[in-house]
Amino acid sequence: MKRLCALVVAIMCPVCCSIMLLASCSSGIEPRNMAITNSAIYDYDESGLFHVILEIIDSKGSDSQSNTGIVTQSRTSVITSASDYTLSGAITAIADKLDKTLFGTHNRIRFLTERMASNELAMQEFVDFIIRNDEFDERPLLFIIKDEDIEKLFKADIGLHTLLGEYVYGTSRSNIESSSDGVFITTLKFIIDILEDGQDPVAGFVSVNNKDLNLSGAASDEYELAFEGMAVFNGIKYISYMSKDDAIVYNALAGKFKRARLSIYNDEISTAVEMYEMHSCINVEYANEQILLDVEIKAKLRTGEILKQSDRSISASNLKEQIEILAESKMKSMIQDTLTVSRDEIETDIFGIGNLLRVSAPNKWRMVAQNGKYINAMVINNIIVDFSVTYFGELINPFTGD
Amino acid sequence: MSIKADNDNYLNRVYNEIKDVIGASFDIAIEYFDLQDGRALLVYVDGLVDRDLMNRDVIGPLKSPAFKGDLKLTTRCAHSLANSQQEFITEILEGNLGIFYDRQYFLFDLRKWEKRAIQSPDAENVTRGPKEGFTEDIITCTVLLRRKLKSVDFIIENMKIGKQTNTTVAVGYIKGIADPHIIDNVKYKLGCIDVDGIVESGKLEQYLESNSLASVSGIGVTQKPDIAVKRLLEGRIIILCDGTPHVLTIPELFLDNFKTAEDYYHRVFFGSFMRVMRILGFVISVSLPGVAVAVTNYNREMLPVSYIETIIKSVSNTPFPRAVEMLFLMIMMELLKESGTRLPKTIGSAVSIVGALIVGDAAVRAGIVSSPSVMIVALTAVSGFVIPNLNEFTTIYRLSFLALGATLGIVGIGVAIVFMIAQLASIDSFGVPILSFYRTSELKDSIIRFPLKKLTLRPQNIARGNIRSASSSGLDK
Amino acid sequence: MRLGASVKNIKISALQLILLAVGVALMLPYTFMPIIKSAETTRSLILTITLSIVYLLILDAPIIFLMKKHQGASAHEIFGSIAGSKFSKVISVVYILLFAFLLFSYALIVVQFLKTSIIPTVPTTVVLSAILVPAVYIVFKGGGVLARISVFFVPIMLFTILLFSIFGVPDMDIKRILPIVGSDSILSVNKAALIVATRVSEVLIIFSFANHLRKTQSTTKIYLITICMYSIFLVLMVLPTVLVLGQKYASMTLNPYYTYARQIKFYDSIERLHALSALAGFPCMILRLSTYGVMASKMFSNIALAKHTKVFTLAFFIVIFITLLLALSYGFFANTIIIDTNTYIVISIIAKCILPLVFVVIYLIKKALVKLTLLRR
Repeated sequence: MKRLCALVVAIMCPVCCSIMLLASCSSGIEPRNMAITNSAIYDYDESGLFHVILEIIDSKGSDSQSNTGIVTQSRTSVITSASDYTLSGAITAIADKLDKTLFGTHNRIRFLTERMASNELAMQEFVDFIIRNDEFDERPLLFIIKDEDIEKLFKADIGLHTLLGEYVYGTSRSNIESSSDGVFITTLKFIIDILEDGQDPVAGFVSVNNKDLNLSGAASDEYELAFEGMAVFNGIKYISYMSKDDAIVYNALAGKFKRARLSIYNDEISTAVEMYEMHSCINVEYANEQILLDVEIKAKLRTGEILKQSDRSISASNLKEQIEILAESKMKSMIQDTLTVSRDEIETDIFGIGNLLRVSAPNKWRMVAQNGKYINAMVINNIIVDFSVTYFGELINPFTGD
Repeated sequence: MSIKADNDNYLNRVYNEIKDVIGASFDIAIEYFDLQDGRALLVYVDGLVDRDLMNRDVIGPLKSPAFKGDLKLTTRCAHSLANSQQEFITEILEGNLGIFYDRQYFLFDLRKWEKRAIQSPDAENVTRGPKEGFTEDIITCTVLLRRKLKSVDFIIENMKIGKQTNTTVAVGYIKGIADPHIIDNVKYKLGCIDVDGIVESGKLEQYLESNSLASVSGIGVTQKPDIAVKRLLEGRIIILCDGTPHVLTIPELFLDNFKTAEDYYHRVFFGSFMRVMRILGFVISVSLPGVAVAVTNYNREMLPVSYIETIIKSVSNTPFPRAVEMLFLMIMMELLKESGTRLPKTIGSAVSIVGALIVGDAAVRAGIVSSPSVMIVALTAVSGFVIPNLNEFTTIYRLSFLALGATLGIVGIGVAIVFMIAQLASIDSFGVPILSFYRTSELKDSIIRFPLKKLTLRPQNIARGNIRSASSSGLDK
Repeated sequence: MRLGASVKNIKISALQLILLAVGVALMLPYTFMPIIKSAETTRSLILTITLSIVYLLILDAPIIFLMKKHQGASAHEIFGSIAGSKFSKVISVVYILLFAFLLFSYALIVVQFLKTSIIPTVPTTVVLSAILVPAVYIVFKGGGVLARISVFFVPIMLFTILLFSIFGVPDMDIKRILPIVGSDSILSVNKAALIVATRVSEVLIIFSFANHLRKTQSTTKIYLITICMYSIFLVLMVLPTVLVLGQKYASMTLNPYYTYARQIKFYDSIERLHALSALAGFPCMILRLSTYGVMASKMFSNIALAKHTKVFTLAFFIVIFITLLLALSYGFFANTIIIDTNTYIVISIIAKCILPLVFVVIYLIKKALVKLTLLRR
């Protein structure tokens, strides 16, 4: 009996294992059967239809090699779209069209059209889809795009890249490193800000502009992309677009700032300074039914070229002081403007003033939060900007040719 | 009847008896030998006895007029007396010269046969350190050990194993360091082996291990005397088997497979670095094909966009699934390895080149396999060569990793790792778990090697009683 | 003595036991993180965790007391000496059922974790086999192997937790856990902490394996070290998750720690490591399942002949497999047991607190009676 049992076990084990292996092997997807998404556009129309456009890496795209051995790469993506009453339905329709399994974890960029972003129900469905889905997940950068720009998006110049998604992703990094005038937010951060008390989300904003062919020579693409400014939301709903100065202020106050250029001038000099090593601090207090806001910013400056506008002689220390004062007042006014616009015009709390109040005075926040438009009670108490020029370059005094 | 005639009759009877037992073989010489006062019987195995010495030290003096009937005084070499005819025959088969005279069985140790010179072992080449290796002759092996270990506590006990082969097997250990329980255990297990013959220590290894189905035996093998001595000093036991240069060391921990003699001869950082490289080689060798399939077929989010793009392009025209492609290449690699080993060295290397370059390249060009798969399998093969002792283990587990990786992706790799580690953890080498390396004394000489001055303790699991090997304070002076 | 046989009497070291208990305890937050999902859990996360440790010590006190009074004795021996062998056998059966439940619920979590995040396309039966077959294999190999492999897998997992918590620093926002005391009522924080503490039943592992310790070491000391390590690594998991994802988002997702691991991105060179986090955690998930299996088979060996243990283990896991398959095919979610209902909490508290407390009471009464008798004499 024992032997029989052992024999049965000895036969059954390999058989079961083989069945398991064979049954499961089919669940893996061979690379050749994959359609890897690199960027995606989501649109929603009045009839309730979701339109999804995906940029998919083209597996057939081949690199052409010249005689010199240099590999020249062309665009290696396929653009495909589908519509459905649900987002997952639209994506499934694309997969059906392609006869491949769609794969979304390499999706770098996600564009939402203005009309979709401003529709609360569509946005709810979108966020639900993103959190629920393990492939089209929360990591891609989120951008809002004008409805009319969708057509032009894939015709735009993508520089040295071969994929739009990779291009935008690369540009986002260089923008943060150099100008900080665009906002680059992952879908995760966007969702977290929606969920966070006392915080309204923002997203990146992309505009597709006509290319100046005179400057770019014989360019094959008609359009170019610009990532300046930011899209502002109230809760889950898209409200408006803010300028690149506002984006600089947002980045500075949100601690996302790496480097940005500021053009400053007065009667005596004009120059462009680069701000770096910026530290910001926002203090919030609640008194007399007002949210008092104190903003403090410290940064170092590096000058670009300096143009002397008057004949007055300028000493090195004088120059330093003048540039610092000019830059500080410019930044101050930028902060003032942005905060005022966000309070009075678009009425959203993109700087998380409410959240700061919740942290510093939880009981008062509970009271304030009952008022949906608590941002109106914000009063800008004090803005302190402390800049210090640390680097002039090789030349101390402006070059005059004398 | 006279005494002489009586002796002759007895001699004839012994002659017949010995002839009956071993006389059928042509290489065994059983000859009458006339002396001044009678006859003697000369028995030896042709080729195992040094004929020159025999003529000079035994036959010459016996034939000389100086021989007065006392064989012990006349011969010029060491001798002994066998107690029985059976012992006499056994000793002759061992290579001794036997003389039956005056109703006594005389044995002369004049053994000499052709044997391989001491050479550097192929499998354990070193750039620094002793080059000599064990040979097939057990006495040469013990000589090599004795020359390095001149201690009164170094004991080598011998025994015969194999009903037909009567192979000499020796158990060596250092009294006072080696665990007596393990010594008794080894001797008991060796005594229990009841087979016709043992001609190689690999067979012995399989009789000694506790679980025949385990992927590793828990018994180490070395061909180098310096390693054997190091193992002895750690409290291990060695088993020498006549006829093979492979010496067994007991107990063997899994981590010992990653240690080489050179680790201790090189500078500490380089020694440690090379050990980490060997462990990395092992990990790559076992898991790379499986992980590659798992990652591309299931968890491709781990790969960068540019790499996955390359993979898609390279596999888009190959006909087989990635797992099959990898399996095909792994089988090819094993075939090439096997043919390279079996063939003469010159042809062997040619086969490797043909296989690696021509077949691999042609397979990629023909679109049968993709180039990333070729690269992965080639890297796997190269990594496997870093730890030759674990070749059998890595080959089997490589296939398991591939099967599970192709089935369950990264989870399958996890399952394979669990099975592998659980199996290794369940193996013990004579009571010592082979995965035990986490005691303080063992950690210092595990994944990395501490400076020798810090290695003052023997592995606690092995040398259970006497663990201090050096005085740190003394070394620091 | 039969030479050549492996030592049947399993001996494990204190380190092995600590790592086993810590590894097993951390696996619940690793895959499911109920601490931030419970409705009672508040923004005062740090306070909740700190308080939960206090509650944990209180809840585990009876079992620690029993171990301290019966140093070196097995669970069965302790129960037997206090309440007699028959009652001890009944208790063993109860514990088998409790372990079966704990095994079932955790297997459900693991399947849910794997099916939603790692291998969604693989059939459920295969996923179930992938987790239960290695667990059975380890249970067959016994407690010694379980302890030995814990020394291999748990440090890797702990190292991964440490590494991932460091890599997440650039994305962390301290505001997400502030204010520390929060605006929650003391009652709600205490309730949350108590619930967190009841879910940690790893003192049972120390209780089950204490008699196998190589040297008779203080189990209380082992327990306290375990709790310390558990607390540190729990904080290293929960805090980065909340600091990066925010409490609301983390509580929405099924596997918050995995979602956190997905965000890890360090200077553009280290990213997409979440599958590695799953790979480092997976063996510990199996470890947790097999620990329950080993403990159940140990309990079984107290009530039946040792030779039947393997048959029991096989039957035990087959029953668990079938139950899981049925539960999953009827759309049964881990949330139902762990979060939505009090089932898990009740069963866990019975296993680690109420039953030992009953024995403590009997022990003290017996002791008092003996004292009284002696005094009378």
